[in-house]
Amino acid sequence: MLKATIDADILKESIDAISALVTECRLHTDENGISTRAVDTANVAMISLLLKKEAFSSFAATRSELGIDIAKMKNIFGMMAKNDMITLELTDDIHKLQVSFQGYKYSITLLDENTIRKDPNPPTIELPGKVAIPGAELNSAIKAAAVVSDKIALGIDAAKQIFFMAAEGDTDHIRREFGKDEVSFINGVEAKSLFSLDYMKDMGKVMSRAEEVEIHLGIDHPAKFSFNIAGGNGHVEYLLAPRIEAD
Amino acid sequence: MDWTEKYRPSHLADIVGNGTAVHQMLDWARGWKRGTKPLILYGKPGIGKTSAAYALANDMQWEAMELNASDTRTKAIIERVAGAGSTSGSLTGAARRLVVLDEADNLQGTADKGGAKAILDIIRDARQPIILIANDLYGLASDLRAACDPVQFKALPARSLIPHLKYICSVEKVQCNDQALKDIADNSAGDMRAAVTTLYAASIGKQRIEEPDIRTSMKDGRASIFQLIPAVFGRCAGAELVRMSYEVDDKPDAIEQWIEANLASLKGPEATAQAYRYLSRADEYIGNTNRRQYFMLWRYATVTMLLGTNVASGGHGIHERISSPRRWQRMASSKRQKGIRTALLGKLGGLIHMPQQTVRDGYLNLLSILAEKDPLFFARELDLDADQLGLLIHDRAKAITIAKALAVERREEDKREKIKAQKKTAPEQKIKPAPAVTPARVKAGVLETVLPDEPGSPPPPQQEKQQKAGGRQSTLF
Repeated sequence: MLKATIDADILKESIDAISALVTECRLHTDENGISTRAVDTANVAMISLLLKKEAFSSFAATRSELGIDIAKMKNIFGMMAKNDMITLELTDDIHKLQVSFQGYKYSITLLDENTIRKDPNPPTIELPGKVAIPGAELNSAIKAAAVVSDKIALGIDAAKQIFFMAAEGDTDHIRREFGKDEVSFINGVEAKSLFSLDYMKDMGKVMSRAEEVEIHLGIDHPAKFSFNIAGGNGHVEYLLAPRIEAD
Repeated sequence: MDWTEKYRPSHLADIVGNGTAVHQMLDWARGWKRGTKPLILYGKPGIGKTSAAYALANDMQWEAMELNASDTRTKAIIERVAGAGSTSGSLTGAARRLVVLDEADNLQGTADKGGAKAILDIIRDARQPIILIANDLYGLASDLRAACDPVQFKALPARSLIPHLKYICSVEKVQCNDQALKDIADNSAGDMRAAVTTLYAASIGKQRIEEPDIRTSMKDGRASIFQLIPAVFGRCAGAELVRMSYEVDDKPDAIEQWIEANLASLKGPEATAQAYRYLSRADEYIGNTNRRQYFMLWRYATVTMLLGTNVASGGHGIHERISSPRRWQRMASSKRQKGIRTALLGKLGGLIHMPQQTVRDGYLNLLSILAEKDPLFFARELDLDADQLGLLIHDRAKAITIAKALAVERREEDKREKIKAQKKTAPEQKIKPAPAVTPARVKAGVLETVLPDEPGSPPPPQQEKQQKAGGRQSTLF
């Protein structure tokens, strides 16, 4: 069972965060809020999203699982205005989510949860290097890198205490370094991995709205980007597998 | 949950049959390093190719990602998904990620033509192991085949399916008698997925499965004409024959042709006569069906010819090879001949203003005799080619010579026309080409024989006369 009211902007932000990676997902609801964890088709990136009940203006739910077609949701919510209040309602026996806003009443057929990929196990990797950077800064560096290449290196230079993002194209090269004054080093150990810009671009758009993104890095290891949404009442974690460098 | 998913083997050791293939895969996986060729697993549906790929990933503790036919597989998506999958490291810390491109033979030329090339590009840049899966190895582009190592999966023998089916029964607490299991295994033709699905379908709502339950849940098999014909000539119950005839892809008129083609195998003239009697009766029903477009009549045709022939054969069966109907072949070869005849009759009919049928029935012989007297004239005036003239004068060799002569004549005429046209544009040029006169005179001579009552008309200039002759020809006859 689910009965909740939420600000359109928050819901949109959450849907956008998910849609950066997957087109469908399982949404888990319980009395504390909603959450999801999904991996993209290529098994390269994972999103974990948590929206606490405080993010909603009213929230009542029991433990259940919803198969959500994210692409469809995105289209529907495209027409919502800022500050609209949206009511979500789900009864136990029917596979339809009632969404109402602005006098519109949608009845959205949910996907059969069995047809959606199983929830991935939470990864158990150690990523020692940790920095925190404003989302907007991260996104513009990604955008800059996308001009010259299709992959980007993220790393920490432990000796100089510098966080860098660098992209190597066939002919061009771009490098952006962040010193202590721009990023906060939580744990400045040596790290460097290469990532696909295809993914980084989509994730960057979402992260640009975050005040601060915490990046966890290792050497040729996945990267974790974690940031808050919904004014601190929600949390998103992206995990992205590294590119294997050609020799 | 679907049993085929539920009982999908998760370890290579659990794969039924195909030991060689499984070993080949394991060796490949253990020795895999960057640059190792991808594998193509190929074989009939339902024999464990996809299961083996996942079991391999599981046994090697690799991650697996799949791109199958239910995903839209355009070039862009293949590049993005399989490309990202094959060049990225693991997300969860597994050593490798196995990229499984299922139904690779269906991918080409369907959603996007660039699919095959996209896969080749991915194979070239891959930094993770890739397995392609296909039903038909030769359905893949040859350069794709060359870039991979093939591993064949063979259909499973019926007896090797039974233990697995038994195991499923015991886990699901379904009782199934041995004969029913054997029926399932025999009918699935080595397709494990079909066998498990049949068992699943038969078990729904039941605790015990008997043979009759199997029939309804069986994957639809379709009888072919090569099963029907021996059955018709052998010992087979009438109802079974009729059922088979509904399953074959051929219509009753085609089945009739097949039966007729094999009547030679009947013993003795009485039996043949009897069979022909029933066949002709059936043919009447088929004719009526076509005429009235009332397809209910087909069933009478079917029953009459199947049961009638079956009775006539006395159940002796066919001992020679089943022959295919020659009628269609004959009709195809006579098509050309018919075309020639129609064209000739059309031209003659136009000449004497009569329908083709009247010409054929009453005048063809007459015209034939006339044509034999002066074939060149007929050929020229009616524009007959060698085949048509040959049919008219019953002399092929002569017709060919005449047609050749006529062709030469035409060419020269063309040449003359061209020169005349040139003369028109350059009138000061006075040289008259010599050969231009001769054919024209021949033409004029012919004209006189055709139009004997106009001999005294003043000879007009040659060109004009020629045009007039052509024009008059069509109105006079």
